[in-house]
Amino acid sequence: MGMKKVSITFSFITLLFYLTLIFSLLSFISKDRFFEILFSERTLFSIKLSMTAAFVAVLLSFIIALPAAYALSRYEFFGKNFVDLILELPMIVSPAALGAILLLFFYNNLGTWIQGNIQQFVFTFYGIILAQFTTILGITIRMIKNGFDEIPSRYENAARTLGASSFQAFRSVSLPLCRRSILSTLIFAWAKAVGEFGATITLAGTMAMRTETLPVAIFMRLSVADIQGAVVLITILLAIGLFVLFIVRQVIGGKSNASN
Amino acid sequence: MLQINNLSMTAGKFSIDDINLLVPDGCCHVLLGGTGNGKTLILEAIAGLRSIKSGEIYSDGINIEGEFPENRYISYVPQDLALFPHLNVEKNILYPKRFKKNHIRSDEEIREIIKYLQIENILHRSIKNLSGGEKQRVALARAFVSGNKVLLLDEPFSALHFTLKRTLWGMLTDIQKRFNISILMVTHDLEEAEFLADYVSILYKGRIMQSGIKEEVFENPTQIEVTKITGHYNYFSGEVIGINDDSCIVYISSLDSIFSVNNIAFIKSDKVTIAIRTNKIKINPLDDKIPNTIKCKMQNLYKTSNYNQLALLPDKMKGERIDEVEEIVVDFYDDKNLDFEQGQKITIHIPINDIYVFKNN
Repeated sequence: MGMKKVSITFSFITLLFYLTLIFSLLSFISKDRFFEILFSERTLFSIKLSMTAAFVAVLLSFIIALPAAYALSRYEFFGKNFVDLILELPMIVSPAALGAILLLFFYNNLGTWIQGNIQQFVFTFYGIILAQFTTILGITIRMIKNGFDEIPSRYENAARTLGASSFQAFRSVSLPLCRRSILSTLIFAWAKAVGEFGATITLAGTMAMRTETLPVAIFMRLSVADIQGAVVLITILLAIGLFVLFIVRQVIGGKSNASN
Repeated sequence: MLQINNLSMTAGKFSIDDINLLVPDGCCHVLLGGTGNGKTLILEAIAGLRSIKSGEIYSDGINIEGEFPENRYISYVPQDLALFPHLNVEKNILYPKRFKKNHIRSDEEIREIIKYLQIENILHRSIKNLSGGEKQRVALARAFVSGNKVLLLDEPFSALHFTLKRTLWGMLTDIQKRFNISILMVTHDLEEAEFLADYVSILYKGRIMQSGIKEEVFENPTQIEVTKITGHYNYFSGEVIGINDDSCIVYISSLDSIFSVNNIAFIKSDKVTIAIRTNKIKINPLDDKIPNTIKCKMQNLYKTSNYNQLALLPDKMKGERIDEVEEIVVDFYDDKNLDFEQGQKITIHIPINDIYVFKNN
């Protein structure tokens, strides 16, 4: 058997492995029970909470990530390497540890002051947003930076000599050229935020109908042996994930503008 | 008018030293040099895309050094043209209109530019679907629409076929004269420089070796590096063996021949290099006893569509092996001598005024 056949076989083994796991869920639930749990008030609350918190977290991370990614891509500055390194923090530290870092922060002097005078984060909706934001910020900056890296600075230089200020060159040239990359990053970050569990449960806790995001709800239902409830929620997460992957592939399906 | 005074800069280990350039209104100054000599760095510094170590840059008498690129009012067409791939041809051309109110061309002038450059029929095309020549014309149009009086061109035609190049050179010259634009252009293409330039500067290893009116630089190279950029030459090492009033005698050992050359400031025993332009050598002069005449044998004949080239071996050559012998290359344009055969005896003569002599360092 040649290399081609061997490698293709392994790719199908991978597909079979995941499909087996997914379809094994079906044996745990009936059709009637599935829709009953899906449209229950508690499940709908979890879906709404997860999506809303993820949307706000993505929005906040985008506000910071766009200029930060641009700076990392275009400029040389003191401490750049350290900034670049710290972006990997959410990827190398386990989400539970990240949540614990956040939780402990709110028990030091500054954190206590913030909780008392600005906003309560621990065990609240805002805690969910903060946990998701902390998890996705690094990857959002990294992915948008990669997008800017693909846009040669010669386009901005040309724009500058044609009368555009640095901001106008960014807005009229780099940003449109990078739009596909930015959009796919945001969609991906949103899906990652929706599925975030470790940091969320550590900082926001497991309060039913209050901080019960989809992943937290799965955990809570499994912990009381509500297998059918957990399966429905897992299916929803899977559906969201696959839908997002499909959309991202559609968005970045063509080559970027700059590469043509 | 663009004037550069004593511009120096560094880029890594490479340095540009003490560059002085003048581009009068409506003139084209060509910076001629090989790859890696700093031509693009100079243009980028003038455009404000690179910082300089020292020097002054004047545009229309105003020192613009330290200004942002958008406040210099200097258009720059880089070698890769940098056309915006997300905008169609029309939007690329009209891009400068988004920002400048004072210098922008009128709609009538823009229509004129589009007509001059023959891009009326491709205005709605995507940049991705343009040919090389079309892209060049769009890039030029965009630069002209900006309304700037100074245009920097970085080898804009280097990737084009010769015939297309000549067409674009003509277009560029017409539109330059029409709008009285000062152009500073860098190229390594000698023919391009000869066609477009009013003034020429020869750049070598980050320094200008010679600068002046085109004809003056091409006809009177003052340094051997200039000859290597401004034409095709035969080079021979020799020694001054005699001095006359206004000429001196140089012995070329590899040819075992003596040459009478114009004496600039040589003394006896000076080690020199003589440079003879390949297209200045006369074949089979009527009188083969005059000075600077060498008897040779034909080694090879190369034919091109523009000219013919002979590779000759001098009769009195030194050295037993062929790779020790210095060939003499002769360009000629007429077809009457095309029946040369290999080994055939040919006499060549080099007029004294067409021999350039440079003292060895």
